Amino acid sequence: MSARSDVEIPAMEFPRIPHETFTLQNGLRVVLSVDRSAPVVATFVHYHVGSKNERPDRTGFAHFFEHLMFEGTRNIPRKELDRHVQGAGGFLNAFTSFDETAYQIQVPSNELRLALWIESERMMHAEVEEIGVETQRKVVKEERKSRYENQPYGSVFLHMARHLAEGTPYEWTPIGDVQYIDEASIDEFRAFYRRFYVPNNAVLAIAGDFDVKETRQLVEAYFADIEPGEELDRPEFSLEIGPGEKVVDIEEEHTPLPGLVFSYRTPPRGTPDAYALEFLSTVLARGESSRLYRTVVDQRELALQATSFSPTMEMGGIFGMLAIGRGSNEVLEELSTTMSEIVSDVQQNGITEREFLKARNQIETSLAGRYTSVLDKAMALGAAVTFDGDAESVNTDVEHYMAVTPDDVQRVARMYLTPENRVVLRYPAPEKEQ
Amino acid sequence: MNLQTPIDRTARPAATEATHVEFPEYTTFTLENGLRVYHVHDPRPMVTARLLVPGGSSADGHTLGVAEMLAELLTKGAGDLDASEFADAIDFLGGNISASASVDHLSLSARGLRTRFELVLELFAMVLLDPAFDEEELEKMKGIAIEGLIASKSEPSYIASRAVARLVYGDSPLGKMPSEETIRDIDRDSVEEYFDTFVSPAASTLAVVGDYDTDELRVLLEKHLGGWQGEAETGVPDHRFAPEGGRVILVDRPTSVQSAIRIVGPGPFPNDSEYAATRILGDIYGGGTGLGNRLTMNLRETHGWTYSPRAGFPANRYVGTFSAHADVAGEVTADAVAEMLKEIDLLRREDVPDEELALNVHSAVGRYLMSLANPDLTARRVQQLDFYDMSPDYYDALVESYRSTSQSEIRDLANRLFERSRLSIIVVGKAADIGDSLDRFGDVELWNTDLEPIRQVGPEEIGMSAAEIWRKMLDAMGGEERLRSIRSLQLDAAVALTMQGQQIPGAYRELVLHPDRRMTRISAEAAGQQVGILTSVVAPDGVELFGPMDQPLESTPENDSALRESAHIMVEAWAESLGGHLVVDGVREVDGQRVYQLVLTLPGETVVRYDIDGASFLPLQREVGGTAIAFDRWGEIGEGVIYPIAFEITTGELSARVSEARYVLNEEISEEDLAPEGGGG
Repeated sequence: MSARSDVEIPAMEFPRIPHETFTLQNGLRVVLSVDRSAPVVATFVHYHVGSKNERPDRTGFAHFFEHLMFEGTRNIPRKELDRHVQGAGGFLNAFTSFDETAYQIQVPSNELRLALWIESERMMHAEVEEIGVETQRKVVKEERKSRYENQPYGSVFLHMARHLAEGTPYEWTPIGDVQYIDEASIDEFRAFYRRFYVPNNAVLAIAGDFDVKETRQLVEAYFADIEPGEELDRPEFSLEIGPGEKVVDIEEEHTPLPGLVFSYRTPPRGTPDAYALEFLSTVLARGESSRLYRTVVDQRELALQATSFSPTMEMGGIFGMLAIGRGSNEVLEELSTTMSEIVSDVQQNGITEREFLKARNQIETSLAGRYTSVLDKAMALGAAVTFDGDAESVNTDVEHYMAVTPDDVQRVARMYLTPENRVVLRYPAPEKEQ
Repeated sequence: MNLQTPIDRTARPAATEATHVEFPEYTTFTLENGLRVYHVHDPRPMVTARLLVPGGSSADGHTLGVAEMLAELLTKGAGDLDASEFADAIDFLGGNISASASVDHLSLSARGLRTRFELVLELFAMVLLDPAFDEEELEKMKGIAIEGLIASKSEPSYIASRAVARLVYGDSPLGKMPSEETIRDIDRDSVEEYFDTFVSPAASTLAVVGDYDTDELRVLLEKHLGGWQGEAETGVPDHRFAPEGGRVILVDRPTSVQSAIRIVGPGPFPNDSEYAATRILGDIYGGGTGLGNRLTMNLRETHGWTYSPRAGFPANRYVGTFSAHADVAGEVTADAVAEMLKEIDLLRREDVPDEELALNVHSAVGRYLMSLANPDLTARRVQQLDFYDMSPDYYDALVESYRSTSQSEIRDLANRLFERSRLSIIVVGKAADIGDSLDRFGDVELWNTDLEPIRQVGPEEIGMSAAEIWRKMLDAMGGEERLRSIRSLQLDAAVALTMQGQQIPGAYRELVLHPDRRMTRISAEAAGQQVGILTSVVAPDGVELFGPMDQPLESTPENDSALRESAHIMVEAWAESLGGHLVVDGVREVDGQRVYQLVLTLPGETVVRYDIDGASFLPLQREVGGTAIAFDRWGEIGEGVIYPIAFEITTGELSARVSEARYVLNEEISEEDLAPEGGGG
């Protein structure tokens, strides 16, 4: 049966995403990508402001602003924003990361003006008022509680950032500390808006069914009058590789089963090693036949779940392996030994040809599936312009993935997955008092 | 376009003319073996294929649930690959193969990159040509299905959906409530027989989305699926159902604090000409468009009774229905039903305002246009045109159908579909609280949670006093004297907990010391040890309650008093001397079997409800202070006492199934044993 053996699979050709970029007088960069296969259009506005732009005593600001931007503008009353978009059959959303805050709208293509109106209003006329600030303070507190504090292992990301990125602006995460949102005055919020929500700190990406000439005119009409802001200083830093191991015990009442995280500092987005690390993560933990899963879940039955992740940011990256143990807290030691052995094995002996091919097949599938909607395209193009300065990186990064070799995977395992570069988070389950 | 005039920022820009709204093109061909194929061309590198087999659960026949089990089992090994080898083979390709069953069809889907889709297709063909139907995997899947069913049955929404199915599908298998027995009854033969009978190429269709030209695809499919053979006529029963109207059903779930309300009525079939307009009506009444439909505005915004009520017109090959949902607090049940009906009547009496209709039409058109970007959905729709026998130009005409929907059409539809005699009301909730408040909607039928009708027996038919029934019960339990001779009781048992839909193993312990010292503890297994979930300690100086992780729980004076008053050892045998007052609350018949409902009121006004089996005179259920115990099995536990061996405790969101209870009677129990474990006592 050929489906079982390591048959030669022809290399695939990834379809190229077309794009054109232009810049308005006020500094707003605009990237357009036409796809007329369906009557749909997506807009994505990336503001190059994330939690790393915050002051250490004002964390959570960027994310809080994401919420405020749904409150209303001079010409769009409170609560009307959603209603307009959903009334058009569309949807809208937003997210905040360490590096950026991004707003998305997807509508039928005959409603492109609606999307441009809303996004230009947000950039030009956001209303930062007490009622909105008060409402969103509550919402954000609830979000922090439900997603990070009350969720078992919900604090992994917070602790990883704190210890891996100590001394850098990645040390706090976008959700931030709620006390600062409470302490901040309305003037501070307004100042934040004037500083960061300016056209020269934003990228507008539009993908889907539209006429380029007409859309350029529309973009001019809606955005050209927005005043530019001052030139911004961007934080420059990097994560030091291998400053020494750290083991942190995190005791939380709602930890149901003992959990263990190995986390490591890695290089930023777009670097060759970042691609190799994604292969490593795939080999270790994607699917039930991956190394980590097979060993700790299937064979040794030490864990109920095991996974890995390798997010990359503008200034650095994180590599993590997480296992949820079965049994009592003693399992943490055994898990730790086993996970170290799994890592050492890759460092010493590399990976097999079949593992490599399988990882490449899985990564190819993900890459092929990532730009299926115009929304995905708009997001990737906007991020490419924001972080790489060039939209074309959405087409060229496939080459970087396909250039990774089994040796690269072994090399990055040796270089980054060292004990000196590691932060171990241990989540013991609460002991019952006898 | 003209941008000479500056844009107006003060108003929402108008939508422009919608461009190319045509339904995407597709081609159709038939393989030699009769399999009809729909191909939607998509230049992107991913290929998806979906096989649609008519029948689904409607063809289960005598073996309830066999179609669903077949779907679970179908991808667990094929050809010479066992389940884990099959999973590894598809993982290696970065692809995916999965199956599912619904009321009217079974589907098998595959997904993979164009460059290696042929290899995925080989595995897909193996599933159809040579499925393993491995016994061991089947047993594993049955175990999972039983766990899933137990978890589901603890949820009011599941019971409500099964009650709706009973009204819609009547006595057919689709209307039956699955049980552990029906799942156990599924064997390899029945799964294989279903597969051999109904899964046939000539009866099925295949939708493929991908970057092929049609001839190329035909050759590829002939090569891999050509060997799959079967008849065009598989004998799928051609059902036609209509929901029964005019009924009001109260499903008694004694532990409910909330009521799950469902209003059910007729709706169009997908091939009815009014299908599109009916969807607009559904959106206006209770659709999920985010525009503030009428149910939401009334029940949530005006009354604050529920967060997300919903309504719509779900349909399949055998039935078209209307269905409205709301979950509300028990005490407002009847008021909420009345408001839901009021909004229905309003749609029948008055035209929908122009603006509201226009907004809903615009949103529906917009959603449809957006959906055209999803080729997988296009392929499913193409299959459905055929499967539901819809007009071939349904989607081509859909935008126009939405736009031409008029006020009078909406009102006419509402008048016809929402006629009061065609609607039925189902409430799953606590009957003791809801009482006769639903009487204003019609004759209320009482069902139990197994959906068996309960008949209330008139007082003249009872023929026994409360004291006589009580006496018979005490005799059945071994006699008053023996019960009164018990000075201490220790009970230990394994327990299966259901919390928030999750099944967790645990332990149950009960210690009782004459007269009324009592400790009960439910714990769960976590991290290799027993962690407290719910503990209560009744002592002369008060009542203590502990929740998860043995954290102290707040209690109410009423709850404390109920716990204390009902704590007496063998309380039934002491009821009279404790000053309890007994009345017959009712007698009902389930499936011809009588159940006596007795209420014991203790001097501190604690109310204990007993359901007593009319044949054995052993209690079926006991409920006090919001905690219900349903008794499954009784047996001798020593000293001639007959006591429960298996039972289920339900309180709030928690349910605990106790099995194999082991009792120790009249042994010494120390003060320490009775102290709360772990929880700072």
